[in-house]
Amino acid sequence: MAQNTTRYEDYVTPIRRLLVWLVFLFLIAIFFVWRIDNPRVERFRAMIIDAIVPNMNWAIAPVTTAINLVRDFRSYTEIIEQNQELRLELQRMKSWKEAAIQLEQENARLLELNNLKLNPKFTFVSGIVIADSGSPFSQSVLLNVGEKDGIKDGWPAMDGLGLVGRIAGIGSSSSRVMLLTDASSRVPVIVQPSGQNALVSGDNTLNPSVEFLKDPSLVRPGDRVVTSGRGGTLPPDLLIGQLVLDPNKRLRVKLAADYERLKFVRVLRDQRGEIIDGAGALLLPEQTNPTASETTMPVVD
Amino acid sequence: MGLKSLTYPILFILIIFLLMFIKILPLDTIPKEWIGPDVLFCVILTWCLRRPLSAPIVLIGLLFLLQDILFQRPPGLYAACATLVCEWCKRQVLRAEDFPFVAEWLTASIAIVAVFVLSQGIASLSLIATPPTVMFVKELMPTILAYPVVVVLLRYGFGLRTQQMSGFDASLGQEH
Repeated sequence: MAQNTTRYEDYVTPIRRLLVWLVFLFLIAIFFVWRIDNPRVERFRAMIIDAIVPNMNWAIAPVTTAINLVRDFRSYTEIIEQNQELRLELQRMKSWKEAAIQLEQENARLLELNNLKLNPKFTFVSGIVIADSGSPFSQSVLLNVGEKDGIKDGWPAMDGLGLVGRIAGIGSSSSRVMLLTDASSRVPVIVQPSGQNALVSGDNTLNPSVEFLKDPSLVRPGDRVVTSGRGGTLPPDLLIGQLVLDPNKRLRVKLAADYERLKFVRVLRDQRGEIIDGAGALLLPEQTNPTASETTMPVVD
Repeated sequence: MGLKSLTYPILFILIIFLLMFIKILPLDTIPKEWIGPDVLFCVILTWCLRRPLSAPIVLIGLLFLLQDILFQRPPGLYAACATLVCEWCKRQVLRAEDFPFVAEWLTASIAIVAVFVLSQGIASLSLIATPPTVMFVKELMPTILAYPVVVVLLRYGFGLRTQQMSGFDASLGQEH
């Protein structure tokens, strides 16, 4: 047996070792190409995923549905209790609905009086979540709509209520949505009603943190957080969620979108109107004004 | 190369594809508080440590690369480190006269930690934003603990035994 082992060491090991280093260098080379030319390799990645995952949907969809059915079945025991609660809530909602309709009518009348036009209505493409990222370190989902359906990189994705994330990577029939919870997600926002600008940055937790808030004393937990549209990455006024304080007294966002049950996602067609990014040809007051005010100061005194 | 020598590679590839399939199921889209063990890596380690001769390096490299691409990791980085470490594991087994389970588990644990240290090291050298180390520790510990469970499951589920050293010469003649 010892003889055989030496034979193995003598003949097989050098070739093996060469092979090991070849494989290692090949893989590391891919990594460095990715590091140098990231967009191209990411497009290649999207292409490979596009070739594999949508074709697996015949298996993914029934298995997911089955597992979710079993999960739901567990909650059937609480269904009567839940029914009662929902009835009560519905009753309360009815009064709110009445108030909302009245306000909407009033709002429409006032807008009519001012002859005012708000943002053009968004149109959207709905997609179904077919896969998630598969890794605990990145938060993203794969949708079954892609380039063929006119999806473009950077478009916002919402569930019925709030922002979910934005498109990052598209294949011909699939696209990846980077969720707001992903560690590399940053969204410029406005906190209403104080109107302060901030940045919602994901950190792999369910509630992304709010950063770069100018004056934290002006905001309170429960304030609405909406996109500000700054930087031109996302359209303004998309609902993100509500402010909350975590145990370490840091401000975070409780997301309005239901991340637990992410199944249908709307991708908004981001058709920008005119973006006004400078004074342009607008008439401005004369530049001499500041000096004029300085000269008037002593007179006032 | 008979059909028999292909049984284990095919079995392992099937198991690995099944696990990858389970991992991309969109069941939990919320970030997890507790990161479970990396069962895929455990299975590949078991394959390398228990059937070193039916675990060709090119195949293992390609499987890791596919994982990198599917799971949104930097492509090639984790694959390169993991392949190198798996090869080291195979060499440990082939050189040892006697390889008790404790030694096997220890080798697996070193391998799991080594892949983390190598890939994190290269990632931070090439200035990539990496997740905090705390998150990795949350994954490493369960992975080390899960290794014996995976071994037992493969042993009783698929009848996978350690490659006997006496049978080792015969299979050597077949494969090389």
